[in-house]
This record gives sequence, C-alpha cells and structure tokens, in this order.
Amino acid sequence: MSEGRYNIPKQYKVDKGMPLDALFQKIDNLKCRRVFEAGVVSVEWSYHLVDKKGIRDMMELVRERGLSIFEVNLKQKISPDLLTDVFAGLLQRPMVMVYLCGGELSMGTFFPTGKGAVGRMCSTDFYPYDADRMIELLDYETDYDKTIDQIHKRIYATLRQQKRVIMIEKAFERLNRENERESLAFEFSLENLERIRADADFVQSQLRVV
Amino acid sequence: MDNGISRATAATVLNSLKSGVVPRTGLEYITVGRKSEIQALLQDVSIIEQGGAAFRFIEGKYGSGKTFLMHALRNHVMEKNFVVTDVELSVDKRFVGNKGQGLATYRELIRNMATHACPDNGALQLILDKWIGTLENEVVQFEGLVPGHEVFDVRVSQKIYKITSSMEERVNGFDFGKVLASYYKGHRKGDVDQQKKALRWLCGEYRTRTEAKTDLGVNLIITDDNWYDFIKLFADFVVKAGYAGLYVCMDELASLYEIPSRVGREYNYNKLLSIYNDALQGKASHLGIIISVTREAMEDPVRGVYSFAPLKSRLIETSIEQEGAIKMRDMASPVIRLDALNPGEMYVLLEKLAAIHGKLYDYTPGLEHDDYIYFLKQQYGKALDGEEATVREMIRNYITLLNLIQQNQEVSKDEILHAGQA
Repeated sequence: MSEGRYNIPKQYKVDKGMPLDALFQKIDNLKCRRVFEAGVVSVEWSYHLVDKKGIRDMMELVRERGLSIFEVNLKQKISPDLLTDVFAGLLQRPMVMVYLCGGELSMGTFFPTGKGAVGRMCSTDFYPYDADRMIELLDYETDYDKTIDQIHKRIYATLRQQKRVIMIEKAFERLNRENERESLAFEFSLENLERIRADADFVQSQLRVV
Repeated sequence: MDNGISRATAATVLNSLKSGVVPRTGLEYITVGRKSEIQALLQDVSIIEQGGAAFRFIEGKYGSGKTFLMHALRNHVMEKNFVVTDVELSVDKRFVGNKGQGLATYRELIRNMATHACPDNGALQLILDKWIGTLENEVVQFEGLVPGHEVFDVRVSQKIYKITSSMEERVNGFDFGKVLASYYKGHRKGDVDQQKKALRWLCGEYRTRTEAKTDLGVNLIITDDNWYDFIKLFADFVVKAGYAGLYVCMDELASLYEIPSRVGREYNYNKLLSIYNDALQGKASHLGIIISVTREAMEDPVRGVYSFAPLKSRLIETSIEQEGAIKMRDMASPVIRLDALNPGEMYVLLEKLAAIHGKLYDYTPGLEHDDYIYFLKQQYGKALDGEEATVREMIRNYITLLNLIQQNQEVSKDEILHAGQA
C-alpha cells in the first residue's frame, strides 16, 4: 500500500502515463478532440483502489476491478464537467479525476451504473491548490474497512458537496469584486471627490485662526 | 492649486510625512476626511473657552491618524490663546505607578507646556511672567502708577494675592497659590533663586515636604497621588493669567494596556476614571483632555480599557450606535472612533500633497486623475496581499514617488509611476 496522497485508503500506486494520442483518437467530436489536444499536457494513472488483498504485481493490479485515480495536467483550463464527461467515455471505469492547472485544482468522479459511459458523474470547479484547502476525499479512520464501492459513493457525495461550496465561494468572490468595483467607481467619481475637497477646505478654514 | 502654504511649512510637512511622523505645523493644509471629528473637537474647544471641561478618546488603529488629529487640534487651540501640553505615555510615564510614573507624567506635561508665543514647550516661566506683566500693566493703565512708585508694588501685590487667594478654595489650592505668590515675591525682589524654587515646586521636583517647607513655606509637594489636582489648578490659573484654558494631549494610552500586572493596570484605569469623571461632571474648568488609544488597547476585554468595568460602561458604544443600520455616529460620545481614510479621501490627500510638493520645489508634478487612481489601486492591492498599507505607509510611498518625479524630470512620470509599482 502506498502513501495516502489523496487520503484514500487501500490505494496502490500505478504511476502510469497514458498515451494521449491513442486516447484522444477515440474522441469522436472533432472540436472536442482539438480542445483536449490543446489543453491537456499529461494524464497519469496514479493509484488504483481494489478490494482484493495481497496484489502481487502491476499486471494483476490493473486487471482488478476497482477505483482508479487519474491526475490530469492542463496547459489551460477546460470545463471540469466536460473533462469528466469525456474521460468517463474514454476510460469507462469507476474513477476519480484530479485536474491541475496553474496552481489550481479541480476534481471529478464517474460512477458507472451501466455499460460504457452510463452512470453518475460530478466535478468541482477549479480552486486554489494548497494544503489547507485540499479536499479531504475520505477519512481513513472511517473508511479503512469499507468496500471500494462504498468508498466511491462517499467520494461522489463529498465532491457533490464540495462542488456546491466552491460554487458559492466563487459567486461570493464575484459579488465582492463587483461591489468593490462599484464602490471604487463611486469613491473616485467627480461628485464624491468634489464633496471631499469642499469638506477639506471647510476644515482648513475652521482650523485656521485669523 | 495654490493653498496659501508657505515654502517653510511645505518643507516641514513633507519632511515629517516622509519620515513617518506627524508634522508640528501646517496640518490644516493636509487634513482630509475628518470633518465631523474636527467639528466635534472644535465644539469641545468652545465649551472649554466658556469655562467647561472636555474629555475625549481618539480611537483607531496604528497609522490611522490619531496623533495627526491631536496635533491638528493642539496647533489650533494654541493659536486660540490656549496653553497646550502633551505627553507620550510609556513604561515610565503613566497615570500612577510605584516608581513615580504618575509624577513623571506630570513633570512631562509641565515641561511641555506651550503657548502661541512659545510654541516649542517650556512655556511655564513665560506664563508666570506674562501673568505678572499683565497685572503690572493693569496697575499702570488703570491706576496711573508707574513701576518704582512706592504704591506700585503694593497694588500689584494686592492683585496677585487676590488671584492666589481665589484659588485657595480648590483642592490643594492654598499651597499652589502660596507658591505663585512666592514666585511673584522673587520677581519683585529680583531674587532669581526664589523664583527657581517656586518653579521647581510647580514642576513637581521637590522630593520631601521638609525641603518644600524650608524653601517656600508650604506643607505640600506634588506627588503621584495628587498630580492631577495640580493640572486642574493650572487650568484655572492660566485663565487668570490671560489664556483661554489648558489643553492636554496624551498619546499612546496603549502603554497602560501593556502593563503586565492586572493590579497595576487597574490602578491606572482607576485614575483615568477619576480624570474622566472630573471632566464630565463639571469638577474641572477650562480644561480639555484628549487621549489617543488603539482599538485593541481600548476594547480588549482582558487587558484593555474595557477590562475595567466602570470605564467600559461609560465608554462602550450604545446599543443604538452598535445596531445602527444607517451607520451614523454620535460625535458627542467620549470616544471618537477613527476609520481609515477611504479611497476618495486618500485621492484628495494625494492631490494636496502634490500641490504642496510643487510649491516647495517650484514645479508641476503633472499627476492626473488616472495616475492617482493607479497609485491608490496599487497601494490598496498591497493591503490585500497582506502588506502593511496604513495611511502613513501610503503617504511615505507617495512622497517618494513625488521626489523621484521632481528629481528626474527628464523621465516621463508614467515610467516612474509604473516602475515604482513593479
């Protein structure tokens, strides 16, 4: 068992770079393929979580049904919903995607409920990547005895919750920026500056003793 | 923009601000955004002139302009014929302490007395001499007697004793009046030594009663316990000497907050309470006291002024102010809470400083609307990045910018402005 980078128990390190050319050839929408070719730098299969104990080698590990963790490095931001949707179609397996771009991070997950790309998926928006704000996918204490399906359901639920939190934070930031812009526009308006100048002149006249 | 400031004052203003200290003169030319605060304080001044007393705390964060406001008021009331004095409270200058820290505060206040004619402190002797001179003039003008006439001294003495005896009914007024009379005796006889002894006593420099009794015939000395009574007596006396009143500025009340022992802090807060009560209950007259304090030192529930319940209940914002959705402030409250200057006020301050800089160096800085906004956005941006961005820091940066523009007029101002913010 490797170290818990995403705080996920039962994870096996894979560290396998994915062949992007071959992978992206499977994207049937040409525009979408262009977007992925331009934006994705690398896709790495980082970990694989399985229920079976005592895995001996990599071949056995990757053949085993489980939850795969992929790390996707991006040159430019692409919608996490689109990324998750496309990778779900390409990889067709239970997975957690971690998208990294310019010091920001986003996560997505695909939970198959049928054949192919049929299933539930969810992804968060990008947020600044630092230890304090790292989404804790699972609590090791709680999940060490759970099955991979149970763990995946938890991840799905956590990401849905985080998606909402991040959306609210982003909306609030936007609101603050707009308020600040409006406030500065008022502060520097000629009318406001004229009033402040008049007040300052008044104070100057009051403080002067003739 | 010609604001009428002289080049000497402009130099003082800019040099002080560049060094991060409040200028002693010219403050009225750079006072921006403090209209309601100044009006409230000027209202106090008019009450003091009419025989009342006033007490105010100026509360605000470091660099928000507390000292600036105090000095602006100090200069103004000095011009209005007040005697002003100031002290910076510190470890060894408090209201009360077991090592004579209260008396040290008193001594500093007496040493720092200033008047319009003697603006740079040390005015006590001048005040006493002016008092005697005024009375002598009255005898000359209204009674037709000239110095040297055998009755002249008698008439002046009568006037002096009339005043000193009028102070006897005040607490400790008897001895205070006696010392003033002693100073006059020295003046009349040309006995400089006698005058010095009286001054020493008034300055709180007698250590024992025996010494004071021997030198001046008084049974009392100024101590840690009674020094504030003498400030009140001085306020009374300076009016009799022809001034409008006494205005006391105390800076850095935060030093009380830093006293490590709870007992020590409470003794000091207790003394502060009695000063506050005296001023607002009408026990003092012709006396104004203004004290600057940081928000933390005021409101900290464990060590701040608010840790002392009697003061907290008197000074805390009323529920109407706290809950006031319309953000109105009661400027008659004993605590004037200074907000940081807002961007619009900073803008006007930058304009004024540019005009003063132009006047000093006889050039036109050429800064325009967009330049001011660019500079301010950069400065407020630094604050968001966690750097210090008090008004003091912004002004220091701005004066550096003006200096660079003036010293490098062959370089475009845009280049300097943008390089400075890189």
